[in-house]
Amino acid sequence: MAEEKVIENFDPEVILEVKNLRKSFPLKKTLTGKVTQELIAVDDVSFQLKAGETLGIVGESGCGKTTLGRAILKLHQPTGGRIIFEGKDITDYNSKQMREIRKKMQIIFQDPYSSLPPRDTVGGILSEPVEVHKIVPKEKVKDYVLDLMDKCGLRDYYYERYPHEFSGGQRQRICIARALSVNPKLVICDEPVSALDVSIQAQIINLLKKLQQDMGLTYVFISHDLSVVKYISDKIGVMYLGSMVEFGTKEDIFSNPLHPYTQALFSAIPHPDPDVKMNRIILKGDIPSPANPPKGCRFHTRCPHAKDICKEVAPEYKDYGNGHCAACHLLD
Amino acid sequence: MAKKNSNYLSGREIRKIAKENNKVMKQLEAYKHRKCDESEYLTTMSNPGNILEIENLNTYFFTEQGVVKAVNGVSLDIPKNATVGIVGESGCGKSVTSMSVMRLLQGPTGQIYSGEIRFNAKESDGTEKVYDIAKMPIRDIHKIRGNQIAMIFQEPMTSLNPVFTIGQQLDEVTFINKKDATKEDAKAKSMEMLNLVGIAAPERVYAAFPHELSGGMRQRVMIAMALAADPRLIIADEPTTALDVTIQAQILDLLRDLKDKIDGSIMLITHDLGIIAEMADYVVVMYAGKVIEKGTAKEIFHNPMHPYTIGLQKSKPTLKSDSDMLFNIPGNVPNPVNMPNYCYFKERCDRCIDKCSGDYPCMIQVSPTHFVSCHLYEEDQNNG
Repeated sequence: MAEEKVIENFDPEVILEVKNLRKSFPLKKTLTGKVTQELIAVDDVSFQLKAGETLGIVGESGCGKTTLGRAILKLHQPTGGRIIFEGKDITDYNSKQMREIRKKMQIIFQDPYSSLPPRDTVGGILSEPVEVHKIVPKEKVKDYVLDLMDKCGLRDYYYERYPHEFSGGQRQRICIARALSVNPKLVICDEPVSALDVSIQAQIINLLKKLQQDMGLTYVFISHDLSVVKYISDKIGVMYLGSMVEFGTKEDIFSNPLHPYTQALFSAIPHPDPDVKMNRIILKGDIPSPANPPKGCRFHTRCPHAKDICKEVAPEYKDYGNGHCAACHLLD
Repeated sequence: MAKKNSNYLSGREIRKIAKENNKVMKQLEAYKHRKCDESEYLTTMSNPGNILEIENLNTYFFTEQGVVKAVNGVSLDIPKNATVGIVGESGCGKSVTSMSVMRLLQGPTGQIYSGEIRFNAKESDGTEKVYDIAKMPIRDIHKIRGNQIAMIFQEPMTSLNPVFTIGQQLDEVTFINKKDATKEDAKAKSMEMLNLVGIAAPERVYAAFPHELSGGMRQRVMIAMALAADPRLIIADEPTTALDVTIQAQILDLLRDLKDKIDGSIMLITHDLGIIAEMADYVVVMYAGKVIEKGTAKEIFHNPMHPYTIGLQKSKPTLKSDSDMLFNIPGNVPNPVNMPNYCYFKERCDRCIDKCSGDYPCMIQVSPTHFVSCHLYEEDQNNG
């Protein structure tokens, strides 16, 4: 059993700290098992998150945002770097130790249609984690679950029903209730609203916000939709091809985006007003394959301001004041 | 045992429904496959400035649970050289409307039950002919499908054939439309189309198989394929939903460019109000199989009238808005079988009046181009 490391000088307000996190997946192996080619899904990502805050992570498909979320929960064992949760380094915890920690960190998945067991009733789905982790005494489980369902906007007569009887929005409420049933501190929301319609999206986002206020939750909110992320987050991290290209508070990121990718991402969003004609920065070409990322700055193949140095040297991830970090040669 | 609720049907009830459905479906299928003279489905446009007029279209799905009225009395016009955006949530019938126009409904379950779809087709000699697509037998549909009306589908990943190269699939369009085309003609046309949609290395893409291309590239190929026959109307069914935002910006930019280059109209179907605002000249808002509001983009975005349109716009977080709680429309879309006979939005509406329990509201004209279907505005019309 790995020895428990307590980090010294740890800010008690910080609930989660990720240091140089790296996750790679082997693509090709030799007969002896040596990895000859690998896909680096998350490369050297670091951030700190205070209790009660929401961190939004945005990026296009294949940028590693989901892998990052799962690596924080150790659903993927990180290849390198440290994950420090509530002052404890959980990177090398084994599954038994993780079980205790999982009570405090939960995840809500993207697709509410495939993440609920079809053969179990809502009551069963919600009581199982409560029983496993012995959150309340056995005889109080049902009351506890009914109370939780009420908080998440589910009526009490849904207790006996099966997931297929619900619409997407209701199912996502069940998923949220399941994640919250063990009283977690940190919830990773992996695209919780992208499978839902606009009017239902608003319901779920409001619910998540209300629950955060009531239960003091900390969210890591992963989404490709910038407007949703802006709405819910306090801090925002922008990812491109596995690495964090910009990180900062919502105000900083939106009023003063430093990285050209962030700027392009913002200008790509269609604005629901026919009179607003935006000066759009249109990126050329496609996202390169993460299995074979370009040399130097990973964004240089699509960057409108690319210089010669960008093709050779990877830019350093630096703090440009007030915790607003970015990785770009143009800022030097 | 399953709990009894309103959705529960016994075996006997299901058999009864199936029997009734079969009778209707048989009739409709026979009508669809009949042989008839062209004169039977030739008609005239009510406004010659339109390219497509849909009038009181009813498209039903005859399922075991009952008849699903996916499109329930939809009327809309698409003027020449305009982009008409159809917006609505999933299940509101926007895709089924486009499928009805293309006559791609999956039979025998899905059928156009009644209504007219008038399409102004341009013959090869330059004269215009108006067809009623809803009455056309399926064997004559090749006169318009693909060459006069083309479609761009949502999923570029699944709508290309994986066993043929992009070149073969593009050439096929030319071969079908021009009987006397040679291989060289077809290739020249395909290359022209690939250039038109902004593909940087057309030679390479021409020889590539679909799996070798990224999502954005495949969508460009789909657009090229749709344009290859010089259609008068392009139906784009959620063309960017499966793509990333930066790629979406590229494709939207391309569609906007193309609209100026080609002489045609676009029917753009999407659930994203932002895309509609940017692309469309006219907007049609659909809810539960009905058109609830239609007008020019400016009218819909600056002066939305139906509570659903207002709610939809308020519930979308935007980059500029900065409020604490999002507005939300409570509840869900009603069950498509057994729709109520009052306004379908009544249960979710925050501005209900007594009249709302009565009949379904009819379309009220607010301005020459702006129509809304809501009881709230009936008074105004009577006074004015």
